[in-house]
Amino acid sequence: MVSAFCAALAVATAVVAILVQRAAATPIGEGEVFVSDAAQARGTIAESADIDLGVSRARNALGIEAVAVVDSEGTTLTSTSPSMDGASITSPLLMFGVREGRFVAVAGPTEHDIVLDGVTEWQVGSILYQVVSPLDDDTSLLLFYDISELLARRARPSRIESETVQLLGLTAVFAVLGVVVFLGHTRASRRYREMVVESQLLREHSEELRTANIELAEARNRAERALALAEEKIRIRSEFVLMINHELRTPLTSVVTGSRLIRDGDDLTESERRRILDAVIADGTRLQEMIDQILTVARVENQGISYPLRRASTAEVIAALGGIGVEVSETPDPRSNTELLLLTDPKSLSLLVASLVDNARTHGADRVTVSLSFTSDLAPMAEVGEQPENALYITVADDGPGIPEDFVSRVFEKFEKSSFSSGTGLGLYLGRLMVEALQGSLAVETGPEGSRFRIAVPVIASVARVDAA
Amino acid sequence: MRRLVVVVALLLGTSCSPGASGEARYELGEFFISGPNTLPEQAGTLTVENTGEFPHTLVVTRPGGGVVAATAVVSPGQTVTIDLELGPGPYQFTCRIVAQGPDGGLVDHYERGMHTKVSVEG
Repeated sequence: MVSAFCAALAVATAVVAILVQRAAATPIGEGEVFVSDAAQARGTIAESADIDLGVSRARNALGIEAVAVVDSEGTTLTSTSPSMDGASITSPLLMFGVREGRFVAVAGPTEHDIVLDGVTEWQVGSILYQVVSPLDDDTSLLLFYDISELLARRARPSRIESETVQLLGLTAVFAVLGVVVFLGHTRASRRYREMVVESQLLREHSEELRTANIELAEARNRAERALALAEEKIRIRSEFVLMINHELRTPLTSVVTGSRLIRDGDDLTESERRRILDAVIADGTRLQEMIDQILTVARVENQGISYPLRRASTAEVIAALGGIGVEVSETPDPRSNTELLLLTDPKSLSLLVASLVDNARTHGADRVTVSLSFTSDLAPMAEVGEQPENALYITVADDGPGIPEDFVSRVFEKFEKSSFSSGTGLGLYLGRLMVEALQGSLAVETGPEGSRFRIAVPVIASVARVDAA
Repeated sequence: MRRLVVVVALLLGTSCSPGASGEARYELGEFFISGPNTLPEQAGTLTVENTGEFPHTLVVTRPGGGVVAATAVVSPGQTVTIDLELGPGPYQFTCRIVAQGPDGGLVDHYERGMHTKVSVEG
């Protein structure tokens, strides 16, 4: 902005300098000299008591060729050149000035000899500047100039005017000032651009840092989750070890101790020996079941589980459940004249129901019931497997103390078991694997008055009931 | 410096007819002098015609002010001739009339533009 202003000033002063120089070169005529000289001559003549003396003084003062006074007819009244006395002006242009009382100057041949101090300086026809200027109402001044001398004196040498030099100097000052300001501005602009680039880089760097921080935080969260998971697995395994230590060692100790008592107890009665043997057998059986359960889970996890699913009727399932040793009730099918055709493995299904019954008894239930129904009011608090679109529901209900509320959501997880319960923590996990293999679902609902586990067995069709009655 | 021999012939009125024997022609008017910018050496006679409405003159000067030749006042519509012998070099053709107008102001023909540069080529 400032540099532009300086540039404008420089251009303006340069233009003024050019104008000044051009004005200096413009021709200036001699009119101002004549007017000034005529005024001076009039003053000199007026100051002189004698007009002849006044004319002479005026010529000497002006240093010109001759001075004369003519009347209104152009006749010379007095002159510094005696040759002119009594003579008349013949030039129409000069006479115009005399008659009209106007100032007139013209360069041209003289009409009279010009005599100075007795010497004829200019002959008739010599080129002189002749000036007519009014003196008063009746007379006029006539001045004669050596035109060459006058023009030489007034000729402007071809030179640069001092004003032009000053203006050009001012132009240079403004130009230099503009350049200095421009350079400063350029440097500042470059610095500004560099700062903008640096700011941009900083922003980009900051953005990268922010992204890196986010990624770092996510990685930290993942690591924390992985750590928590690992800690949880360590905890579960630790509890499993404790469980093995307790659940396996306790019956094992009972078996070993009972066996020693029988071996060494010579004084035992038959009834006492039998009671001890029963206890040993019971604990051994329990030990065997637990080991079987652990091995089953390990096998299923390693090899997967596959049941020979086939079409089976409700009657077949009820028949298979008969071997469990619990009361099985069936809610009548509202479609009384039809029977559902299931897709299942009745034997495996009965094993699943039996494990649920056994689980209920293990956890303190006195009464366990199994019921079949086509609808269910159970509100699942946890559910695994896939709920079939059409299902036969087998519900195992008990009157036990219920599952703790903070544990029920993890009841189907591996090695999960309530701290108040005994067992391997694998029973319901094994049930989950089984129901998934049966393509059904397993849900649980629990409360202070007992728990209900519900198996959903997929139904593939309804067929007309073949009733013997 | 080469000495110049100047012969000025002052021809007035009907004594000179337009275009008579002039090798070069110059026209005077308000306020201009038009004619050739270059003249051959030994130009001889110039024809000067006033096509304007006021009297004019033609004064030939060297750079620095030396007067070489001049016509008498050329009245409007008048044509005069001037014989001159010019050596090679630059010259200025001017009108040297300053007259007071009816309003009292000075009308300087030279200042108004009646000047032109003429180069005489050897």
